[in-house]
Amino acid sequence: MSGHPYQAQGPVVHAQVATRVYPMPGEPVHALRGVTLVVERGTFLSIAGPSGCGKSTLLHLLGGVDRPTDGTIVLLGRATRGLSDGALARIRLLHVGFVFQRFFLLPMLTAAENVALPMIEAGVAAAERRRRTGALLERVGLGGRASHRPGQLSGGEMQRVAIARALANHPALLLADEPTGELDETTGREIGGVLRELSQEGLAVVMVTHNADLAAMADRQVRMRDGLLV
Amino acid sequence: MQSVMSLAWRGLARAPARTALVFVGLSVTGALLLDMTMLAGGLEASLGAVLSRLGFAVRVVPRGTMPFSGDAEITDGDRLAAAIAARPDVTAAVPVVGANLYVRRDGRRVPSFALGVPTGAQGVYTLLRGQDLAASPSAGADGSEGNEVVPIVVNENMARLDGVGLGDVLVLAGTPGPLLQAFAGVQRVRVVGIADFYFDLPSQRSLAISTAALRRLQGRPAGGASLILVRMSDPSRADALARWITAREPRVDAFSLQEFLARTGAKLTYFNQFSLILGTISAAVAFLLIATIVTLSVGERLGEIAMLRALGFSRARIVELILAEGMLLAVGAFPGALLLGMVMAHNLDRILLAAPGVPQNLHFFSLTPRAVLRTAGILLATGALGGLVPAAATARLEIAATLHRETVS
Repeated sequence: MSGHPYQAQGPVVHAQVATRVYPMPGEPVHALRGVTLVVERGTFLSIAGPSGCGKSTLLHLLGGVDRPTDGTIVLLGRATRGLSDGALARIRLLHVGFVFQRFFLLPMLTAAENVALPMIEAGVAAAERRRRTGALLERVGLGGRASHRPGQLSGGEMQRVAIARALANHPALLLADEPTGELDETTGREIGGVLRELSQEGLAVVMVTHNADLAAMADRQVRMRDGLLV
Repeated sequence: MQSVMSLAWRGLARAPARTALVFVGLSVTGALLLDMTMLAGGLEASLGAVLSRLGFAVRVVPRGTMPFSGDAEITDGDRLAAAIAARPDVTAAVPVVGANLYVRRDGRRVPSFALGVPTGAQGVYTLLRGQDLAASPSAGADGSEGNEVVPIVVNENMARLDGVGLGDVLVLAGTPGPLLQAFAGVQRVRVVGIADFYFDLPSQRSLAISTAALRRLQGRPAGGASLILVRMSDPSRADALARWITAREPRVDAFSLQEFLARTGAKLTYFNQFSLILGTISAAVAFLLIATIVTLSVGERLGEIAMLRALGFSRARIVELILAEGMLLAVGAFPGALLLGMVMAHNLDRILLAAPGVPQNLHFFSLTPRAVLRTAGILLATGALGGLVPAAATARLEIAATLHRETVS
């Protein structure tokens, strides 16, 4: 398995005056207007702000699912603008984990199979996949639910499965976009706790949230307005 | 690849009722496609199977004709057959005479087709019951004694439809009525065997008799033949022998089995055109069905696909996944298409075989490995093409915009 040569030294991801403009029929939309941000290993960073302020756009740029219109995103030592689509996909696969508000678990797969998906794509051997999947589900407290399908799980359990899936290939960076948006307050706090624990283990965690209580669980908080950090 | 197939299959299984309906629809169009593929070369394949069973590698006919297509004769057929038989790679050369006769029995005269074959010749027909001409007591009827009762072998139609049995004595006449009979010969014959003559029409009466007796009855000069059948020790050299024969005797055409089938196939182009048009329509319907269903299915899963891309699944892998769904639909429908196609072909074959002038041993729809493989290949390609349309759209998917849209919707 040939992965990206992750630089253990230095920031995991670094946004330098990053802008993102969406061309629209009437007037272009300036979603990001020059954001500079550094995320180090072991950081739990929350990004808060009103709807449409550019939080998710920034998260997508940091994770390499989108490229800046201007400025630079340096992800694990490499500027994303210069990378091919395939190279960027490979970096995401091996070094970045995503957690989404709507979980996006595949309903026809069991919890274990959902967790194993990124490992299959990365070419991890079956025995290692089984070992790692079991450990990850145990890690998020769902060791006994491996064979359950998403429809048989609660919202909090589905998000835990999604977190386990995001951790499947031992990423350096975990990005969570409104991870508690569809959960009740108690479950949301539990998920926040899991993310904090992961950051304490050395993972860089960036979380976008509307929830002030959840944002307060992060060890570093930033706010955004109109495409800028404030 | 196995994981992609597994994932694709489970994607289809998410909507079992819809997938089952697509399988049924594709089975119907696939069945029609199979039938058209069977029809395209069916008659040729069926003819080839029957001719192969006879075991003759080369057929020699008067130039510009096909076997028994008219009254033309190879004038010195016996001599040509002897020359062919003298070649070391030839094991037998059988001159055959064909003629229309009347069989008289209990005051009825039934038109029949007679094959004049040398006694001892094998393979022109297959004996089902009784004895062959060569084994019967007066088989050596190559002399000229016209009052002798000559042995004949008749076909099943004559046995079934006219109640003719082994040992029955019949009278063969060259003309239908008693007035003209004075000018043409008659011959008393005894039925010694019942045989399959391969190319009989559904109610056609056929019989085999010694060449000499038939010539005498017809008043034909000795030595002529309607057809020479050649059996070889190495049939793969049939084309070379056919070239040698036509070079030696320019008044004949000589065909290897393949050449004969090709000539016959060229006369059946309307079947090919018919099957091509209907087969293309079937494939187009299958394509539209697959493309529509996979496009709908992909449209319902854009968020999941964007998630897979965000997790690091490559664009190519997603395209593979969608293509696999299209192909799996085609593969899943194939057993149904095969079964339904065979049932439909059986019934269509019966309808077409009821048309006048079609030999009862031939079939318009032949289930050959080639027809099955070709149908499977076309269905699989249709599945891939049907998946290609939504796959191409998915390949252009903007991950971030799709994730955003799916989250706020």
